[in-house]
Amino acid sequence: MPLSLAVDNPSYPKGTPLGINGLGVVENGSQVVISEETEERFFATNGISVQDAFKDQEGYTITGNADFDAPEPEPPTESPTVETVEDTKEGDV
Amino acid sequence: MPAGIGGGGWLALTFETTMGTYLPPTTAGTLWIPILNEDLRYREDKYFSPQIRQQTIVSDVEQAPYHVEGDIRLEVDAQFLPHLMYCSRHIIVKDAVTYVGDSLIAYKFTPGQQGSASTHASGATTRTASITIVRNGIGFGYAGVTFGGYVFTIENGVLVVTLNAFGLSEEDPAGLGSPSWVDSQLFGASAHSVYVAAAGASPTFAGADVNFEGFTFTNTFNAAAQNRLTPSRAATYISYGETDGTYSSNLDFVDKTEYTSMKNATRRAIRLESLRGPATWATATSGVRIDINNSVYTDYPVNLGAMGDLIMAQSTGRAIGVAGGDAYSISVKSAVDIT
Repeated sequence: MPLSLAVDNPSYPKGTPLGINGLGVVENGSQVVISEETEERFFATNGISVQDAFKDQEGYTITGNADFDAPEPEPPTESPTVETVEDTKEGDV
Repeated sequence: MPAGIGGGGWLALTFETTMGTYLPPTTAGTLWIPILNEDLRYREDKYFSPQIRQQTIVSDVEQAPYHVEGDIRLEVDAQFLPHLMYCSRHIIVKDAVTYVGDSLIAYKFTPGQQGSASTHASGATTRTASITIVRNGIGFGYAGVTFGGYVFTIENGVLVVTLNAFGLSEEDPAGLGSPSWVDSQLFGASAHSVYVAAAGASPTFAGADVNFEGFTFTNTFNAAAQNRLTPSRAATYISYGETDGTYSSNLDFVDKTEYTSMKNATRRAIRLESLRGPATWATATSGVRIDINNSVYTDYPVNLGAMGDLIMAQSTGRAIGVAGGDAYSISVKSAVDIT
């Protein structure tokens, strides 16, 4: 079953066109099927997959299976380590 | 993370059911509001210890009580204005109206008398909001936000409002979700009319007055964050003080009528009406109407500025109470239905 997004946001009247970056326009109260190409464009635009973007969004329901395999995020660049030098006081040695 | 710019940011507003309990933008009913700029921020006067100990510099620091405060500036859009007006000190009346088959709501906001901000789960009553602002992809959550004042003005022909926001605390959003945006419905240069009438509880505004160059309505509730002793250091509530409504405009000086009105403290009613669609309030598809029902000019300076300058009065006025009515009202006609 292809991926689809159902939108029901009570703050807007039913039928209001809602623009979602990288996804297009979805009418409030409706459901759209998301193609693999759209999934890919959404990831390129937002840096996150459609499923991850909406997984906790109340009123926005994702169903179906993704066709697009989002690449794993790159691990963060490690900061150079700074060695700490213990203070030495006269008489410690 | 590389540097970011403002255009990539966004602001979301979610009504709170419990004042000060932060709701992230993944909450149902979140509204993503396009803005022009904002400077909402954490405000704290840290305690620096001035101990006298053979040094002439402060020797220690402790965290202090804090709150959130700043301005949010946006183009007025009736799809968002009702939510924003709910978060301030107003009495709210909501009426369903119909125009050409569209269900519209006429909201009317008049000055309230509450001493502090509060929220409710439903109904035509005041709310507090959780506001989330994403700056360079990083979320800032502000809880218990109310608007302690606002300035409506016309900039390059477009109605703009600046909201003076106060919040109780700052939180890290658990999730940012994914914003949805509606097409803008702004009030441009062809939308506005100004009317002047005799003051009263229900002034009768007749023909539009064409002598106004610009119009600014400033209203403040003199809000302040109130911090009480609590380990969280966050503000406990937002208090309201005196309501102070003023307006200003430049007027062509053609006779002494209004100048004399200023000297005599003659009461005046003034209306700024901004409409989309057909040119009457009854038939407009969306609209904003600011009525100052009872006011006086506080200043009406007329001077010879320079040889080539138009002679104009930089008038300012102040709203005052009226028996059996409201000093001012802000009406919004919108398709948005707040329940």
